[in-house]
Amino acid sequence: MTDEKLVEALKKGDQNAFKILYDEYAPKIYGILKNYVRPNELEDALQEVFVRILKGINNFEGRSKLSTWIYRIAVNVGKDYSRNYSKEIERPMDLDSEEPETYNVQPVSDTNVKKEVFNELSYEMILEIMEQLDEDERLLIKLRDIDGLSYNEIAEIADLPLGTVKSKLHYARKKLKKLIEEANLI
Amino acid sequence: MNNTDEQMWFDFLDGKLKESQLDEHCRKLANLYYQLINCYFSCEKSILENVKLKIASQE
Repeated sequence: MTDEKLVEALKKGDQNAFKILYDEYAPKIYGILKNYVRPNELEDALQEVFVRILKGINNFEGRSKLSTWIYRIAVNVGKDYSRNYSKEIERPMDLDSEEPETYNVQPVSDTNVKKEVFNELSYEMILEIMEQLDEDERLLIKLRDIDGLSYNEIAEIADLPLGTVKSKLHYARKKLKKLIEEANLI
Repeated sequence: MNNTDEQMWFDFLDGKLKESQLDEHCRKLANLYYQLINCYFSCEKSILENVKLKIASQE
């Protein structure tokens, strides 16, 4: 199904079109959200992205590619979560308050799927390496080296100038290469 | 890794070189790089299914 037909069907509330859209984009969006969102909130964040897509589809006019529009929504939702975490950290702790903290950091719980995929490293080590990159660096690597998007699309999604995308991606790849080498994995 | 190898590595990531054109070290590095990022960004099927059901039930 072409993007045009898919959008048309989504605007009509076609359930099958939603399934096609979801199966295509949910795994990609999940990867983007992982950059920004705590593991225990990934499900809510993913749902929010699709709610925004379904609410906004009637206003989608095709000025950008459907995929670019969807990726941008995902990045925006992810950044909203990330901003909220920053506010929580900045908020001074009131030691006199009797109210319990409204959030707590959950331990990372990952399925065996990830562990099966990767034989040579523990998942903990992967997290340790990847989390030494910042959010933008991980996003650029994900969009380019996994999803295979063009530099122009990435610039539009990440809301960065083209030159910045290229230089930041170069730096991110170099940093990740160095981390792999330093971990003595080769 | 010297500068030539490093350039080879970046060219490979940008699709300018094929895996067969890489030397042994670069090839190992490339495999680890892709395994690592694919694993990090892989998703939990259960979460995907849960969200799909929730949204479908809302529609």
